[in-house]
Amino acid sequence: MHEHYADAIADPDCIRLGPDLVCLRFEVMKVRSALGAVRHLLATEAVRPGDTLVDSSSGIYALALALACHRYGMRCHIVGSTTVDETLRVQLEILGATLERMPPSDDLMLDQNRRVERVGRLLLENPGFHWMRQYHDAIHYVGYREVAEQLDREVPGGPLTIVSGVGTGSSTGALACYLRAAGRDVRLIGIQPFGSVTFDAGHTADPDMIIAGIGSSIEFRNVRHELYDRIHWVSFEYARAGAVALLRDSGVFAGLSAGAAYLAAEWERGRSEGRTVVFLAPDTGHRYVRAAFAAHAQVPGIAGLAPHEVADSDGIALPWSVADWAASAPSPDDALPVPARAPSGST
Amino acid sequence: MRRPSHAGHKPGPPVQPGTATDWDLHALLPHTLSADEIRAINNPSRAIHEHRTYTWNGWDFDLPPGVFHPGETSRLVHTRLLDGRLPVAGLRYAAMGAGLGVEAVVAGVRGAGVVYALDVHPESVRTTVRHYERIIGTDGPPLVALVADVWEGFPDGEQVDVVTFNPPAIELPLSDDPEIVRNLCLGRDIATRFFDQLVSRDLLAPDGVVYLIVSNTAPLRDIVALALEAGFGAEVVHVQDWPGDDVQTYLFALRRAGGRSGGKD
Repeated sequence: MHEHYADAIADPDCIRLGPDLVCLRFEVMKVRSALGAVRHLLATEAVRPGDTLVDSSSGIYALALALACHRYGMRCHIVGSTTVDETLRVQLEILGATLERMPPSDDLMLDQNRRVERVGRLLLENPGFHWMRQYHDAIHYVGYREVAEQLDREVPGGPLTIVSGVGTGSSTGALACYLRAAGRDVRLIGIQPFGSVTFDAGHTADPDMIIAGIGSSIEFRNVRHELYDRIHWVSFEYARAGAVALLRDSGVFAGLSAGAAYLAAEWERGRSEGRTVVFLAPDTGHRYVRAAFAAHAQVPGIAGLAPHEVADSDGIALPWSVADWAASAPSPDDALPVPARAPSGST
Repeated sequence: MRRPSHAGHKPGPPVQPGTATDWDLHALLPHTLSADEIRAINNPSRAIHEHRTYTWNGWDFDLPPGVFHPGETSRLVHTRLLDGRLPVAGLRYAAMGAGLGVEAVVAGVRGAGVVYALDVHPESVRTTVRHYERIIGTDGPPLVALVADVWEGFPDGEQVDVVTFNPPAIELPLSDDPEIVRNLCLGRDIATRFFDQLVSRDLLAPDGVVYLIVSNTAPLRDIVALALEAGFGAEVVHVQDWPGDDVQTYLFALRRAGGRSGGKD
């Protein structure tokens, strides 16, 4: 029995789609991250019940943090964009979170800077506020420890290949860290949209649209590049083909990043003898009905699709490319994420 | 792309000011000490969770829990700001990682045009404001106190002439205490973000200078390489070695290509 709705929607399901293929399916994956972060802050007494947790977000992290605050008796304040949609806005209001909406420009870096400026002023004026910094603070890894433990139980023994979109880097980074620390042989495969700077593809662009929730035009400290073995860059068109194929083949109704992960996971299966390939489906497909699923009859199957295999990110090309990433073997010293905040003066 | 690690090499003699610049200088710099040496030298104290005091140059500072107590490395910067070897008079100065506010106070005393104090830790920024108001008062240069994540949160469209940056760049998890990690152990990515944002948002004036202080307990060569790759020239302003260990601490002046020289030791 779950103690709270947030716990229920944060728990993933392991779904076996083949003898060597598993879908780790979430309803809202970021709730797992927010719950773990808030629990960690309370346990370490970095915050007290009733304090206010603040961050900038215009998307699913805002809802995840509001739910985690509801779960643990905290206040929640979000600095977001005027583009926050009605579905999110009303949920935040009813959950008791407060939302400041700032007009966006077409430059994400400047928008983020202006929102951080606003968060900074709030923090100076309100000593009871705590800045979550979802992109940079490794406390957002902590909640995935239980997911790694669940995966270790439900897919016992044998080497794993984990395939997932990389957004803030917390879910993929944490799963690799915790499973490797538990002694599992894990290959980590990241999925990126074209145009994302996270793995050096800022020089490219997708003519259709960016896959929501993965990739970025700014650097995130929670992306630990050294953890990744291979990166796939997938276009919207091919991610959509993956999402439709996932629903058609398995009944799993999930979003575009899950579609891209399914596409890449199927390709990785052919190159992963003796390994179980686990791909992540971080959310449901409801947000993507019009953009991805409605024209399913015109969407090609994925059996005939193949990536450009390139040496590095300089050579990537639409609609799908893959390159080994210059990953170094993690040392015992950096195997586990360190819950950190960030800079201040040092010695 | 990642670079191979040569951590643990015994350092050669310290590279003195004037010996070399830029990539020639980079080639002479020491590699990072071994993990065991770094752990032996850095024994983080949990006193950061207590209320403390600090006295320097006749000024008394009050340190609430979580605000960092300066060490010898910090004082290498403080003394050089105070005696003018790192000039700030009439200039727009930014203290990156304001801590308890010593740099801001000294820049106020030295007559900076404006003092920006940035720190990700809100209580450090509040502490800087309190010390600045008490020691400098309202007759000194204006203080702009910002809770910011490196440069994220610094106002767009503004520039500075002088920056001091003492990054918490040790890459070993010396502690699982987040306060200690925040102050000591954030690795080279803090330097990456510092230089990326400084350049991409054009925050440093054309003749501006960054005074960067970093030791071979951190990925010193990689951090200098990041600065060079970001388009800065590098020279040594001061090098300090310490009795009883192999630590070398370098104070670098970093300028955009074509910038004037300055900062003497």
